[in-house]
Amino acid sequence: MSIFQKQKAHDLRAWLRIATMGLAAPAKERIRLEVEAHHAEAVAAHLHEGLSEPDAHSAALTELGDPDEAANCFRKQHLTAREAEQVEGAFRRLGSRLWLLSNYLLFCTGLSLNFNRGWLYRRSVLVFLAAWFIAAVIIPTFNFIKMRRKSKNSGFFVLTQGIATWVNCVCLMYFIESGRHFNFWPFLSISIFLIPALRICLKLRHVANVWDEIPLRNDARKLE
Amino acid sequence: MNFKGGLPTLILHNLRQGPNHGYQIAQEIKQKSKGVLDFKEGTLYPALHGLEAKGLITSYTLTENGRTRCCYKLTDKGKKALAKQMEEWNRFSGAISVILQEA
Repeated sequence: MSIFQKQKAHDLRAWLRIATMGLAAPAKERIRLEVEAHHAEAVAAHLHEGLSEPDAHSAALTELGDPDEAANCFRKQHLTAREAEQVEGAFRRLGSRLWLLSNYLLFCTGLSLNFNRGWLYRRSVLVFLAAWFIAAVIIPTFNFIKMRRKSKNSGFFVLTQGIATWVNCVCLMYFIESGRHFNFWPFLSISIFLIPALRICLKLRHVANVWDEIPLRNDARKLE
Repeated sequence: MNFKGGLPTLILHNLRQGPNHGYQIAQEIKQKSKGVLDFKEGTLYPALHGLEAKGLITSYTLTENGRTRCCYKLTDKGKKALAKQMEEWNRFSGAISVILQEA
């Protein structure tokens, strides 16, 4: 059998397996519950119409349609297992005290470099320091609080943190290079790190219950 | 009839009458259109989940006769979106009708 050949769903289990292939476990579970309830009602309705049980099951399955088409749609609305892992990692980082502290330390390092070199009153340096303060102190603190409260607009926070990290790197490079000039290529190369944040942000816009779809390890432990 | 783009509007319109679950929504759309608007029910759930992600509907679980089912409810944002979509549709279909009547 060719690997490109479409898989056929002979029963509801097979239909669900194809339709939810690759999705994160919580999304799979939600879809399974909904589709199973739907299928049970459809079977009951067909039995009421006078069909035999195998025919009722078959008719209900036909009404569900192509599982591959459903799988394509579900993948747009739910996190895949891999995406759930990435999102979980990003959320854990944003909500971690260690990450927040490392951002503060980074900013303090910049300040101390600034004082050591006596640049404090140079205009360009002050602009960088202001940007760095926003990126290393204000944004991580805001995101930390929002993540702890499990805020709904989580994709936006991942993106702002990505931008903040980029600004952190730019400022650090500027200060290390003694604040004399911009080297274009290193700045461009660190921009690559923005791509995952942007990807997560775009994906999370289409996911209804993000926090339900990522089984955070702490929560999982509590449940155990 | 294929009406992929119109499914979210029909779902919102159905939920205007009150909370409902997936199977019932599908049956009511089919019955009201007298079978003209036939669609594969497996694509209904991604549409419902998409509307939920946009904040136009909310979901909650309900246990009835030992069976757990997910019900959907229209939000205020959803009501506004529905009113806008219905207005757009009336304008669009009105324009098409005028052109077809001329022919």
